[in-house]
Amino acid sequence: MGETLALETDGLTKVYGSGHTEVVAMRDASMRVRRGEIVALLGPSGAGKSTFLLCVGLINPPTRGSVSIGGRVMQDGPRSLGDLRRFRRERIGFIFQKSNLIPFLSAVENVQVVGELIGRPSSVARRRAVDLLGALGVGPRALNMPTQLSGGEQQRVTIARALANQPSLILADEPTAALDSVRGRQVMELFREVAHTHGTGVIVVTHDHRALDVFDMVYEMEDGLLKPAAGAPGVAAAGSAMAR
Amino acid sequence: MEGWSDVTTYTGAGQEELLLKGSVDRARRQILLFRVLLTIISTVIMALIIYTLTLDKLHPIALLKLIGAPNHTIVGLILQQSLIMGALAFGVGYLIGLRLFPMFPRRVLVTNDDLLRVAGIVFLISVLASLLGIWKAMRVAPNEAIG
Ligand SMILES: Nc1ncnc2c1ncn2[C@@H]1O[C@H](COP(=O)(O)OP(=O)(O)OP(=O)(O)O)[C@@H](O)[C@H]1O
Ligand SMILES: [Mg+2]
Repeated sequence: MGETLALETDGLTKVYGSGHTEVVAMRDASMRVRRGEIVALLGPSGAGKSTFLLCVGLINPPTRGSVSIGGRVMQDGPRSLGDLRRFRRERIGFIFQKSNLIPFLSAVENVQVVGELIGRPSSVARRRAVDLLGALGVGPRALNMPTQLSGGEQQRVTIARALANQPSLILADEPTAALDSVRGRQVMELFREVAHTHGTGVIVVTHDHRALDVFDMVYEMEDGLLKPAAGAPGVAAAGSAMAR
Repeated sequence: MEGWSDVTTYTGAGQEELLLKGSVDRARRQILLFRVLLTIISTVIMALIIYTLTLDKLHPIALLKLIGAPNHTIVGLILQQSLIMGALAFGVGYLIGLRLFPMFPRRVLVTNDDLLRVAGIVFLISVLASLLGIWKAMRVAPNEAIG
């Protein structure tokens, strides 16, 4: 049991607004992700999946509950413990629904900037960025600006950016929505490989049920409630973990 | 000569003072006032330009915060932009001066000291002008990069 978890959340609850505009977007969400484990998060629109990722990614504070990453408690209710921004740049990789690149930087610069932010020399950051873009099949587009890339190419640059700091946790919100099913599957397999070889915890929000076999564990969210998906891989193991 | 009643003698310095006092001195004060006003106006204009440029970039700024860029990086970006703009303005102003001054009825003397002083003022203006944009950028939340 001494093993450190990539992620542990306990009773995460998020309430947006107040009074009669109050929305409970997430209630009591508890999840544990081991290092090297890749987890899928399914659920209908409005279920609270993005809300969960934003809390876990230390972007939006939860109303209640805690978030620990790599064994360190970072968020205890609305209270933040430590320099969240620094933690994000060093330990977390983000991929969001819409591709999110800096418009005035080229593809390779968008990836390189992450390495520079964590203090790597430019040339080292550059080389790693070029390698990552190559691995994701967008090497030839490295010098193009984001607007010159297709949606799928932009998304792959975003994925390269998320890998650039060698994070211990990767959070991806529908990363393959802009990709065809073959590319989409390749991306999921790449995440799995990253998880298994680098001991990274990966959480992927997805609607693509065909790629679920790639995951070690599948969760489902509905109306703000998080639970292991029925009939999916890893459910038995999670069931016992949940029965505390 | 001292004895002549209708003539007064002046030393060199005295002559200069006589000329500079009165109308020339007033003109000088007026020019100084103009310069101060112009400096203030150009600072305000530049601040508005930098502010607009920052507004255009709020999304990428939020994104930078999201991926964990520290505040000083973001401040640096805006300040850098402002300083580049100031440097360009200085350069353009200098070139225009080179072209224009020979056409003036009197010789215009621009010493290195003058240039240095103007450069210092431009630097100050640039820094001041970036403050509004920086203030705006600091208030952007990282989650504004998504959704
Ligand atoms: N900033 C906000 N203010 C108020 N309500 C919000 C806010 N963000 C999300 N919500 C609400 O919280 C609920 C969960 O939203 P969330 O974005 O987490 O859903 P989701 O599962 O990611 O949906 P989708 O699959 O459409 O992306 C929704 O009812 C949404 O309207
Ligand atoms: Mg969502």
